[in-house]
Formats: sequence, structure tokens, C-alpha cells
Amino acid sequence: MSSQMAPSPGAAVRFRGVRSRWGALALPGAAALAVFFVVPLAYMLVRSLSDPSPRNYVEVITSSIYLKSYATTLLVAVWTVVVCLVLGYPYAYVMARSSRPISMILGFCVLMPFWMSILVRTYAWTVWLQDNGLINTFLLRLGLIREPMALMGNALGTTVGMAQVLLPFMVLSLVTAMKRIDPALELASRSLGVGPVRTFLRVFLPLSGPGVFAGGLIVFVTALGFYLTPAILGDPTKPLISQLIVERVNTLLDFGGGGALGIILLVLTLVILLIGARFVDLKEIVGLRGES
Amino acid sequence: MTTIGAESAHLSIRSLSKRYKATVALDGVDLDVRRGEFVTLLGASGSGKTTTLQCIAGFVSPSSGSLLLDGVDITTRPAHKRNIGVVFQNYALFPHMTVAENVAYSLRARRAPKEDRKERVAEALRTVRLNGFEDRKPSELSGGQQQRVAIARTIVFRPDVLLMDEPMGALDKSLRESLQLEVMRIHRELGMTVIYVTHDQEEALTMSDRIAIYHSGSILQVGSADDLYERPTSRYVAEFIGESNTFPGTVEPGPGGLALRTDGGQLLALGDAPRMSSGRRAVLVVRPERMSVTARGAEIPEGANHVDGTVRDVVYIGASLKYVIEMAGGETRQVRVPASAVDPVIVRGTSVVMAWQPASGIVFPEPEG
Amino acid sequence: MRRVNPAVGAAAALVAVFLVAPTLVVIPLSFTEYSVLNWPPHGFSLKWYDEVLTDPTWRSATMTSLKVGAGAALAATVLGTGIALGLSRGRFRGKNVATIAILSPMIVPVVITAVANYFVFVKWGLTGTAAGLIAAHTVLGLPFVVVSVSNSLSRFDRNQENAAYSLGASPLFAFFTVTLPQLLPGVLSGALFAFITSWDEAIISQFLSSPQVRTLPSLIFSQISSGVDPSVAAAASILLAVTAALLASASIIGAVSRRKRSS
Repeated sequence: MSSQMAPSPGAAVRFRGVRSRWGALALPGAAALAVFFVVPLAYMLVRSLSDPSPRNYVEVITSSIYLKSYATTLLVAVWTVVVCLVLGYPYAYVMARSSRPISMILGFCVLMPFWMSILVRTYAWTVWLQDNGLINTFLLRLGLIREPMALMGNALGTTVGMAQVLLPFMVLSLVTAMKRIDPALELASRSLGVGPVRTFLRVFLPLSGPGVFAGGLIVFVTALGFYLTPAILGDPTKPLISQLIVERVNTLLDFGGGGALGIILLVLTLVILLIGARFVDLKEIVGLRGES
Repeated sequence: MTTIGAESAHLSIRSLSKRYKATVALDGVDLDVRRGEFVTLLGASGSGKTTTLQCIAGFVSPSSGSLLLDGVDITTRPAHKRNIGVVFQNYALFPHMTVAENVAYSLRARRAPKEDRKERVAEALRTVRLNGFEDRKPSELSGGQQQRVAIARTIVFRPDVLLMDEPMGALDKSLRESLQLEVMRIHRELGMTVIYVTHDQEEALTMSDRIAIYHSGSILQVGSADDLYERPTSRYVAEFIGESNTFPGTVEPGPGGLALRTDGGQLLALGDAPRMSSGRRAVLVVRPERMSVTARGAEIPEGANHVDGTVRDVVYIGASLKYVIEMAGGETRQVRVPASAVDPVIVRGTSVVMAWQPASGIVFPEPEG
Repeated sequence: MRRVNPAVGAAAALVAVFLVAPTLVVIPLSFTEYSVLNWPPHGFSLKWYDEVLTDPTWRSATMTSLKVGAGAALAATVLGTGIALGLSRGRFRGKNVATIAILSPMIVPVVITAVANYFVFVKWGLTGTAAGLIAAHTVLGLPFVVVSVSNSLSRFDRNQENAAYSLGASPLFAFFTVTLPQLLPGVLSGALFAFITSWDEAIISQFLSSPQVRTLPSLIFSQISSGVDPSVAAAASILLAVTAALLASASIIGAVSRRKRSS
């Protein structure tokens, strides 16, 4: 027992009125969540099994359109993670290790897009990547190319757009992990006569591992379910899972098939997250402080 | 003197217990406090004094036992209806309110008329000598000033009982001393019943009418500073309050009544014949200033207990001198002598005799088994 | 150690440009005089803004977005603050599971949430209504409020409430005069993030909108798919500007409350 008057665990609840039913305050929110989130997902599951029958899953798992789409989705997600890591690592390093004004500017540059509309950010990419967009116009004028290059409407466009949209997630995870690395460790290594490159490889890189893992996990999982960016920048003939879901439901009105595909994507997402949660704290990823 | 009738008690705590899942924080505490009395709960951290305070304040509900205020059972009354003020160690001032708003809070909660509020806030701030600070935010005040605001905030609604939980804990020593005087003055002026929690012995001895000594969730003894020092009822209290020398041994018949055969082999006479049978393990406690030190060979007063030793250290403490004396076997004891009565012959390394009258010692039986 | 290799620093600067610059291109584009989207923008004109602000379709989409955003932010803030208080103070089993369940709208891909909502909202007659959009966006914004208020709560000293009780405040009075004011920065930033979440959201909106009731992102999305004129750039710029203004106020709230804490 501390000498301060902090309420002790188990401090009784018996006084009328005082701190009696705090738990009840969560109920309205929990009810809203149940009605507008859990029930819809459960209904989607039911629909996927009964409209017309569980055979929806057989088709979704065996038909070649879907199998190709799974492969495309995984490939795009992996590439997105790789690009985010390559771009995000040096950025996060500088953000974690430089003086306050610089790290604040870098923080601003990462948080601003983090909250900006994904739709607008993706739309802006079309201005750059179209056949008559900024990049092609520029290269044509310089005479470096004769024909516009196909920068969007393919996996390149999707990956560039998704990497830019998801980069903030990667950077924030990395920075959290890197700020925990005591700079004294690097100084100690240098003072032992180890060069900067080897110090980085032997000390900093391994210690930043949890951040790389957490960032990779969150970017990969988000990329798997991404819809807007592939829909605008991607190849319409090679849709990702999310695009197929929308097509099934919106265009073909196939609620059962779309539902089955949705359930598969959901299960895939949750399984990957659950496995990942054994290695990193998911609460930290969403920004919840350690204790609460 | 040490016990008062429950009828005349302002606040009465009856066999109060508090159990958490695995631990017992309070184990049957009884205490009666008179109106206007200043009672301190003194003990090490974890001894149950703060839990007692939390039960009185109504922040924690006891597992069993009851609390009576003016004879009325308030055990289950919610905190805000108890009219008991609390001053917290970390002040717990409301950071988003000014000093005046903090002090006026209890009046606002009680819906006191607006004109009244202003006057009473000014009066409370005058009492703690902080008038002129009305519009400051707590964060703009020093620690000592914040504590005064906390006191003003509490006395402004004239609580029946004022609880103070280590209110000086976060302050440095000189500030603590001046604030102690301040608290004592306020107590005198307002005549409130104060229950004060601290682990600082000196603070407890200076400020309190009575002190309750806590140990492992129970009160061992309640009494004035003098009572506790001169007439401790347990070895723990004797050793907890002030300095003391202990001589463990076995009770046996001696020349003039019962005596104690120490583990070192000396036979020490015991004062007013304690009710203890021969063969019982016991410990004799003697205060350092009740002992005298003389060079070996000098005359020893008639009937006094005496133990041989060698001076290991001489330490000046204000107006007195402390000898650290090593006995045969290597254990040390302490003797305190007024600086005016020091024998210059005795220096480090001198062979000496420690002596004291049997009536100056107190003997406690050791737990059996 | 405050030294960073210049080459690494330069790489970081380039990445910063990659993060910010591509998006900003819509702003100069929205001021073009031409009626086709082409680079470089030609001349300077406000006509596309005029179009977005006066054309009934754009106007009503903007109004719907504001209405839905405000409604969803309000609902998410009230419900989310309750959840945060209940989670941190209530005593019940399975708190960890409950926390994850409440944060799950952040985790489940929005496409799936959108499709699932669409399925039941069709049955409940909530498609094409502002109420339906508000309900779906409330759930989406809830986790942001819970996280933000929970973080404020973990810094809040419960002795503050004990002090208020001892001063005679009833639990309700203490909550509104002592607890809530100190949680306010967390509540407000949660509200802002909930609003931004709704304001930017396009996928659920796409499923739940009707020609009469549709949000700004939903309208932009369908305009992008069906050939573009510069009014889209103007609408996108407005979307960005509103978000930026809200983020700026959020960071001001944050800075003020940090200063209060530290001084």
C-alpha cells in the first residue's frame, strides 16, 4: 500500500452512489458497436452460408479468377511492405535521432498525410501517373520517351499509391521502436572501436527489429484489404480481393458470393494479426498507452 | 489518559478491518478521538495508517467494523455526505481552477449563496496567509503554497474532522517545519478535530496530542508523546519511538526480586516486579540517556545495573554526547550524556562501565515458541 | 548523439517530399481556367470552386458530409467516452477481450465493414439515409475516441475525485466539474479524429449513399471513375483544407493541454 491515497485494487464499491457502476457507462457504446458492426458482420457470415448455400465457399476457394486475385493481392501487399520499409527506415531513423526542430518537421510530414483523405491522395496520383499526366508530359518534353509510359492501370500504379498512402503507418511503428533504443548503446559500440556502419548493423538494426515487424504487419494487413487505391490506380483486369468483393456485391448483386469472399478476407486478416500479436503489442499499434 | 469513553468521543473507530484479496491491510483497529483533539497515526508504510484514513474519509469501504461520528454510524455513508475534510499528500488541487475557485469548490458543491462564498474564501485564504493569490492557478504556486491552498480549501467548509495524509511528505525540511507550526496554529484557532498520518516520528511527537502507533494493520499503543516514550507497552513501540538499548535474556530470581540473565551472562535487576515467571525469555529496554558511563574502576551507584564495555565512538549531537560502547562479544550499545556532564577522561578506547537504576529499564516478554 | 549521416538525411528529405508533395498537386490544378484536367494548369480562376459551392449536387454532398460528420463525431464522442470510462474503471472479466473488440473497427478492412453494413442496412431501410451513414461512421470513429480518452484517463489522478467527494461534491457533480474538464483535451481530440474519419470516408459512403443523400468523398469517387473535370480538384482541395484546419486545431488543443500539464 502506498502512502498516497490512490484507490487500491479491490477497493470496495459498496457506498451508494460513489464509483458504483462505472462499467455500465460502456454499455451504450458497446450496444452501438453490436448493432452496427457485429450484427452486420454476423449477417454477412449467415448470408455467405445460405445465399444460396455454403457452396459459395467452394467456388471462392477453387475458381481460378479468385485464386489469381489472391495471388495478385498477396504480391501487391508484399511489394507495398518492401517499398514502405525501404523508404520508411531511413526516414524514421532521422526522425528518431535528429534534433527537435527537424524531427518535428518530419513528424508533421508523416502525420499530415496520415489523416488526409486516402481518396484525395490516390486521386492526386492520377494527376502524376496518367498518360497525359505530369510525369509523362515532363519526360516527353525532355525527349526521353516518345510514347507515354503506362504508369497506372497496372500493379506499378497500385503499389506506388498504396506505398505512399501506407508509409505513415510504417514510419510511426519504426519511430516508436527506434526511440526506445538508448543512443548510449551506439556510443558504447563506437568507443569500443567499432565503425559506424558495423555499429548500425550490429547494434541499431537488431534493436529496431520489433518496429520493423510491427510496421510490416500493420502495412501488410491493411494492404490486403485496401480498396480505393487499387480501384483507381490498378489494373481492372487483375482485381484485388477487395475489388472482387465490391464487384460481386455492387455490380452482380451476388450477396452470398461477395459475403463469402468478405469472410475469407476477414479471416485472413484476423489470423495474420493474431499470429503477429504474439510478437508485438497490438494495443501499441493503435496508439493506446501501455497501462490503462 | 490513554483511553477515553466512547460516549465522549467525537470520532470512534470500532474493530475496523480491511482485507484485499490476499492481504490484510487493517486488522481490527479501535480508536476514539475527542472533539478538538490532534491525533497522529504513526507507522511505517504499509502499516495500515493510510487505509484507516481512507476508511474514515469514505474512499474505501471497510470489510468489517464501524465508524461513529458523534455517536452516529457513518460506516456506509458516502464520502460526500460525511463532512470530513481531507488534505492529500500530493495536494490534489484542481489544476483547471484558480486558487479562489479551488477554495470555493466545497461551497459551490453545497450551493452556498454567492456573496457568502466570496467572504468565506477570503477568510480561509487569510487563515493560511495566502490572500492576494486568488487568481493564480495551482501550477503557478510553490509546493508550500499549494499545500496552504489545500488546507484553505478544506477548512473553508468547516468540516467536523480534518484528515491529513502525510501533507508535508513532498516538502523540504525547513518548509516542513514552518508549515507544521502553521498547521498547529490553525488547529488551535479553529479547534477542529485533526487526524494526521505520517511516518515521520519527529513530526508526530511535535504536533500531536496523542499518537497511535501502527504496526502490521493494528494499533499497538495510543498515547501522548510522553506516554509512548516513558511507558511503552511493547518492545516494538519502545524501539520505534526514540533510541533504545536492548538486552535479551531469560528471567530468573535475583537478589531483590526478579532479574534477567542476559545472553552475555550478566545478571540485571528488573525494576517494579513485572508479572513474569522464571525461565521466561524477555528483553530489557533502557533509554540511552538513562544510562551513565564511568571509567572502569570508578564507583558505581548503589543497586545499579552495570555492564562493562569499551568506547568505540564519541559523537556530539547538539547539547549532548553519544558514546557507542562495545560490550564483550562485539555488540554495541549507546549512552547519551549531557555535554555539561562529560568526563574528559573517557575517549575512544577507554574501558568503561555503563550503569543504570533498575527502575529506568522496562522489560517485555518475548513471544513464546 | 545528434549526428545523422548527410546521405541518410537527404534520403529522409526526399521521402518527406514523397509523402507530402504528390497530394498537393490538386491545389494548383483546382485554379485552372481550362475545363479539362491538364498539366500545367492554365491561368488562374475560381470558377471550379464557384461550381462546387453553387452546383446543387456538389453543395448537397458537402452539406451531407458536414451533417454526417458532425452527427457521427457527436455520437462517437459520447459513446466512446463512456466506453473509455467503463473500460478503465469498471470491474468485470474479459477486459482485454472487450478492449480488442471495441478497437476492431480499426482493424477490419473497411470494404468488409461497408459490405456488411450494406447487407443489413438494405433490410433495415437505412441505405440512402443520413441516419444510416451516421450509424456506420459512428462505429468507425469510436475507436479513435476510446484511444484518445483512455490516454487522458491514464494521466488523470483519481485523488482528484476523492478530493471533490471529501469537499461535499456528489459523484455526478464531481464528474462534471473535476473529471470531465480534465479529460476534455482527450475528448475533443477524439471528437476531431472521429469527424475527420467520417469526413474522409469514401467506401462505406459509396455503398450507403443514394443520388439524393451522398457524401462529398462518395461524389468525388464516382466523378473520378467517370472522367474528370477540374471541379473534382476543387472539391478535393476543399476536403484537404477542412481536414488540415481540424488537424491544426487538434494540435493546438494538444499543445495547450501539454503546457498546462508541464507548467
